[in-house]
Amino acid sequence: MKLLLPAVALLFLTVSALADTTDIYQPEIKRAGVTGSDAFQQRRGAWGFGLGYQSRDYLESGITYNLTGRWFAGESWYLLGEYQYAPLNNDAVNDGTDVVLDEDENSHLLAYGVGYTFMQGLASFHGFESYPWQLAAELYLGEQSTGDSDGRYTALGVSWQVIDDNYWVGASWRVYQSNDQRLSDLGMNSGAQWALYIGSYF
Amino acid sequence: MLVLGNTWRRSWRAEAVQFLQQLTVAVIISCLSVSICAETDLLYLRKGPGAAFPVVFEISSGSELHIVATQSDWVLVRTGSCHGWLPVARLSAGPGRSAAQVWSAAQASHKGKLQLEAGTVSNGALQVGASYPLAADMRAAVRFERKHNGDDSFHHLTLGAEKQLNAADRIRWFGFAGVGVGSADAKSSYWQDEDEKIEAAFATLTTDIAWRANHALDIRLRLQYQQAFDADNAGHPSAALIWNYNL
Repeated sequence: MKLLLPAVALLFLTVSALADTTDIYQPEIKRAGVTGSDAFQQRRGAWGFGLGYQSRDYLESGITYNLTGRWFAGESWYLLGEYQYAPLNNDAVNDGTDVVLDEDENSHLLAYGVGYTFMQGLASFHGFESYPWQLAAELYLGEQSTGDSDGRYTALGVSWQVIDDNYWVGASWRVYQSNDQRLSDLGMNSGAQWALYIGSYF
Repeated sequence: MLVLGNTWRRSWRAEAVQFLQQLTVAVIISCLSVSICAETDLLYLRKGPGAAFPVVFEISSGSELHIVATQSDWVLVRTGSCHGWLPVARLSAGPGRSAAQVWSAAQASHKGKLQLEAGTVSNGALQVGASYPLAADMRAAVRFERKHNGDDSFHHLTLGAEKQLNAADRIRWFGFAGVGVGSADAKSSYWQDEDEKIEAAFATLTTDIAWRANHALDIRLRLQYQQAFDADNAGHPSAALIWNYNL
């Protein structure tokens, strides 16, 4: 009996060791000893929705609604695309004789741009969990359409993004200018915009 | 005194704006320089294949790295007990990885042939384009330029060929020649002085100084000259800032 128990234990160990080392034929293409892998989901870009605010010269501040898309072009650079809808003004503006800005006009912006991540780190609220973040400089170019007039939109700003496993949140701030002649004549063609974003990856 | 005061205030504002512009440019250049210097010494291992994944390890480029797997243009590497993903373009032969392995990984992830570009032109227009290789250093290119500013609007499309003229490290020099057609609105003085819409054909010559930001992205300063065949205002020199991405 004293010998039987160790013998049974040895048998189990041997069987389990054999099971672990059994090679199952799994053909796989290897190049220079390196395998290709589809097991990892590659992230090529991100999209997001943003709610923002803009302040402009000679015009009341207002809310903005943003849709953004980002395509990662390497480690630090990304290409940007954004659509922005924003109510422009509440009250009509006239130059003494003619109405130059109707009441409740809206602006639509379609822009593309480029971003460059120049700083990254970890943020933690209570020390138990930390979230990676990155800070990027962004340049936007696009067309802003406002009522009956249009203009080229140019903006330069910074964006702070916190990267979670399945989604990202961000805060961005930028100064912008439009060469829309009508708004330029009214001195309302520039200002600052900031927004909070939340989005996911693709 | 009031006039003097206003003048002084305007002058002060102009100087402040100029200073802020110079400061912004200096900060951006410093950030780029620091990051470029950092890139030559450090490798950032990410949690997954893609720049959207966070950096999990920061290692020296001279570390012993073993290539575990590849996916598209990213490689999974192991160094000691650390695992992480790197862009293939950041990997070179060294301890733990052979030149053959690096070459193999790079071959498996070679970029596509199509290039897309977008940017802004000094005449107030926006420009987008695409190009496809015809030969080793020659590409067929199409460019669309549009200015939409109320009545002062024009757009045109150019087809042509782009040739790489010279290359040195991160800087490359390109030339482009093409022909195109376009139209300008009645109020636009782009091609004519009269108040009527005009359509015109033209030839264009451009030259690009391209700074290679990474293996897929160029930032280009483009100088271009457009000569219309039949218009009042026929010649248009302009400059453009373009970014060009290899898909």
